[in-house]
Amino acid sequence: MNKKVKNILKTLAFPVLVFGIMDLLVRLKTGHGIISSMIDVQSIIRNAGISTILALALAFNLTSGRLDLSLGAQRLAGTIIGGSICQMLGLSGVWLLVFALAFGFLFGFLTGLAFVITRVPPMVLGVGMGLIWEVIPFAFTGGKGLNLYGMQGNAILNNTYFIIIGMVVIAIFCALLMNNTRFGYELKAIQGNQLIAQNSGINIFKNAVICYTFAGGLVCIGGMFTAAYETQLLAGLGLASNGVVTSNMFPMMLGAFIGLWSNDAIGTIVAALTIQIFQYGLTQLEFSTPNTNAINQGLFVLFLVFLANKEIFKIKAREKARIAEAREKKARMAEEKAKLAAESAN
Amino acid sequence: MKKVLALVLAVVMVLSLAACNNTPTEKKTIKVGVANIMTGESLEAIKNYYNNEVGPTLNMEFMISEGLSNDASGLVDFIDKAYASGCSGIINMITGSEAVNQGAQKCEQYGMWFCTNNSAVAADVAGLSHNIGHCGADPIGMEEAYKKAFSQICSDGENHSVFMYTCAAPGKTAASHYYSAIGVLEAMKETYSLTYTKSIEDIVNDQNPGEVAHDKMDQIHIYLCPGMDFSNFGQYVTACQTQLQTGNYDIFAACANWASFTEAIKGCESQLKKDIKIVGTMNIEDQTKQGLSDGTIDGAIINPLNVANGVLAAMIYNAVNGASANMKEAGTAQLLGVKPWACMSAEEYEIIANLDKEVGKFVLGGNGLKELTVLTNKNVTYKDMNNTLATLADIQKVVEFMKK
Repeated sequence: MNKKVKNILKTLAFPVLVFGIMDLLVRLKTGHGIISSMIDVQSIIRNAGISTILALALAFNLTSGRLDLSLGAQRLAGTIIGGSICQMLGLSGVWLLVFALAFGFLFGFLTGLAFVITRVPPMVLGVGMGLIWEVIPFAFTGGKGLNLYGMQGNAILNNTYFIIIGMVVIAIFCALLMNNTRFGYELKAIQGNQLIAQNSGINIFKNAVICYTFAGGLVCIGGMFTAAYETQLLAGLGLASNGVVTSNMFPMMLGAFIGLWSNDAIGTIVAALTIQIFQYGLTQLEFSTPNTNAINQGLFVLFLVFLANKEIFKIKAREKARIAEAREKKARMAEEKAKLAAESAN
Repeated sequence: MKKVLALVLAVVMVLSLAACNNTPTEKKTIKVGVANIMTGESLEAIKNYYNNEVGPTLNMEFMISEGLSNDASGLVDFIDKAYASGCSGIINMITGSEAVNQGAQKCEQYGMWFCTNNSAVAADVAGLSHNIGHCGADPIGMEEAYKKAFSQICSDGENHSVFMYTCAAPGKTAASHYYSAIGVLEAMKETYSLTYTKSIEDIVNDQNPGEVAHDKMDQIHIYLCPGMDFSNFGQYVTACQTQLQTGNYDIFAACANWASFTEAIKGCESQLKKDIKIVGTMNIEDQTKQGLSDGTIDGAIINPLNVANGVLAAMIYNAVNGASANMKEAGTAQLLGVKPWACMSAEEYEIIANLDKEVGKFVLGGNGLKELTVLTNKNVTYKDMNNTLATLADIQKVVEFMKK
């Protein structure tokens, strides 16, 4: 079979397999499948789209060894402030996305700048910056957050086709950025070995700031889609905002794995879709939220264990073959020695 | 020499006696910490009420926290800060039982008065000397309001089915949510003569979402979805949409955050081409008015946000002024209940639309508030306060009360 076809089949196997299993389980319990109307399709696509965007945002820094714990707070700050200013200007619809993106870039850029200037470890910096970014939308809106209830012109943000287009555009952008630009090549070099990359002339600091900027912009787009659907985004404090973003680590890492057969962007879309189908199935099976979260995180841990040990069978097989070869050689040598001994006795 | 000394001493004594006047020209301001969990418009309404109405009326100063999370550590932390700032008391809005217990004990340790905005007495700390009581949505009132709303909606002779987001009902985490869910189940039981397979309390306390089992499940469907994980609130919206789009339900009820479900409900309405009625616990705010006006909402159970807040401030005032025993029964903290208002139409809501939002329009303000304190009634007790709250259950009587 053609290698390309094999790769496509391997990529599609994930969502198809998960869909098959969950559909069967849901049918056994409820008598109908996971998809019983267009609403189910829209719900899965919307959630998968938002998850893809957040996972791509995480990947910008996480793949370079930087876990940014302020992404959730950037999501709050950019979405709430951008959305609020948009409301004040009497704008709606796509403008909400534009403003959220702009403020997301701003907060991401400032976080990146703080990272390269202070040289504080990313996780520590993320906690500090996260606490600061959370306060800003809280103070700006007097604790109200962003309320889009009753606002006209926002139907497009809940339109399934628009979300699909947005997700595809962002994925294509990320794919081109990573694979066809100087920034992408330099990022891959840094991911390989930061010290060698720096010694070979790559400006790792500029690259880091750009990564933080893009990550900030993407999480705010995801935040605005969420706010449009739930009609509000509340301003929170105490780093409570981070859970929504870090819960997308699973699709990000699964996406990187699936991306071995295509590219990271396609892998992330497929991974997000797979996990959303799984979660949607659990919802239809009436699992409570704590149980759903526990199952999700349990699967994530199992996946990480698999990633860390996926070569183990090949290693064991090679070891077994080597041991068998050594035993055979030993037996042959013993046989020859016995033969020689017999000949000399004669 | 002796005569001069005697004269000087006499003058000093007279001047000292004159200084010991029983009526001080300036009363000390009572500083109170408010451990708040609200955000958004509700937070602004609380701040406005405390700072611009209660403060000037009772000479009180309020230190209001940002939206704390519903756990003990945030409350205890805030109490430490309030104590350091010189607060005499704490008005606690964190309803979790562990938080109330720890908060009351902390305040007992510091000698600060402690009262809670919730709908259940914390039995473990009810006997503490500085725990002066609770005031919140009257549990029976919530149950009756939901029962009334549902009985009205279901009185058309048609079969109706309901999906209810019960939020913090299981385990009475929020007692008002618990009794709201009970009200709905009671109303459905009475209207359709249902026999549930489990007791209503067991049904509401179930942490898992699911359909309520009864003897007429082929005609009537009741689905309860509990959930307090606000970091992943989208899951509840998804769960709601999943069930509503089966077409089995035509009423949606929510103990909290009703607006977050409206897009999902609209999607189901347009897909199924049917109207899904929305009933829920709401506040006096613009989106409630808009929802009732444009027909999105069919029933609003309004918790008059600041009535409980006013009562709690009055309780602290009375305690600081030596009347803490009057706020209790035989040394045990009591529960005062604020009855909700059930508005089934925009016209009913209009009567209360402007209440509790600005100075001069607060339900408990001015003389009405003073009457709950020792400022005007030296022998006021918690029973007197409860009687006042009972009269405020009727919207018409509220309007008369506010004319005081």
